Amino acid sequence: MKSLTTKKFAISAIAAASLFTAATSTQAASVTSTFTVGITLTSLCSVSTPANLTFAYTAFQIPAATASSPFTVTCVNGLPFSVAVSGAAVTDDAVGLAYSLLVTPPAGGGTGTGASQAYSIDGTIAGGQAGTCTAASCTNAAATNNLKTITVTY
Amino acid sequence: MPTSSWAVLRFFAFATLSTLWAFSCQAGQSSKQFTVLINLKNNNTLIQDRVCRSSVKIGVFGENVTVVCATGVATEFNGNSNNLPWSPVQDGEYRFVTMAPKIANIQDGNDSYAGMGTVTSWRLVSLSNRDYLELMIGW
Repeated sequence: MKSLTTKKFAISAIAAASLFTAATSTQAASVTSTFTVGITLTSLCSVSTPANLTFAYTAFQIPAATASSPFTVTCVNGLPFSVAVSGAAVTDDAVGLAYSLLVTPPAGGGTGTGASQAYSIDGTIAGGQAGTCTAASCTNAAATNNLKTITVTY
Repeated sequence: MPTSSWAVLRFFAFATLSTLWAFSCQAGQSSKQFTVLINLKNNNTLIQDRVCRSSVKIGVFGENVTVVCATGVATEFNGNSNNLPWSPVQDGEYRFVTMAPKIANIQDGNDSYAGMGTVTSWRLVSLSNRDYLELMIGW
């Protein structure tokens, strides 16, 4: 009886030792692998929609009529860009008044900062123009060349 | 291949790559539209403080003068027998001053019934020894 008990103890001890050895051998080795985080940043600029530019002009008025409309340009950091406006010097084909449009600061260019940058479209109608109007007042609602485009190139 | 040919090839390759790089850097555009609105008022209101020419000369009583206008500016005065120097001035407005003897009881005023091209206002400029009748005419 005593021999049987001793055998059981011996078997248990051997089993325990085997388990301990196996556990120890499992945690002894490590394997590593590296990888790279790849990011492709597509450069982009966005421009806000300017409000319509509204002039009030009295025929033959001496001072020039001016109007201004703000807008913003937002570009990624460090990206150079330029701003241009279409039809910058035209004669309105409805009321016959010549005017000019200018982007301020100058459209020569800027550099993206990641934040919105303030610009404005400044328009001028020179004084002393007659215009075309058969009533007490006229608007250029029927003009075909009063739709303008502000373009940011980057 | 001769050295000069390689140099030419390298030059064109560099130019081509530079052009492609430039295009690739300026490929992006963003745009928005807006409208230019103009409200044009006809100038029917005459402003006296913008007169820049005047004359002092005796004219002919009852004389009719026809004024020829082009785009709001008088270009010719017909029937102006005394050649009164009513030269075109700003705003389509003209000032004519004629010397008059001392006149009593003439009030300054405006002719509210006058149409375009007629006398629209007048005033008497009274000096110590004579008076001037000033006519303001606008078209």
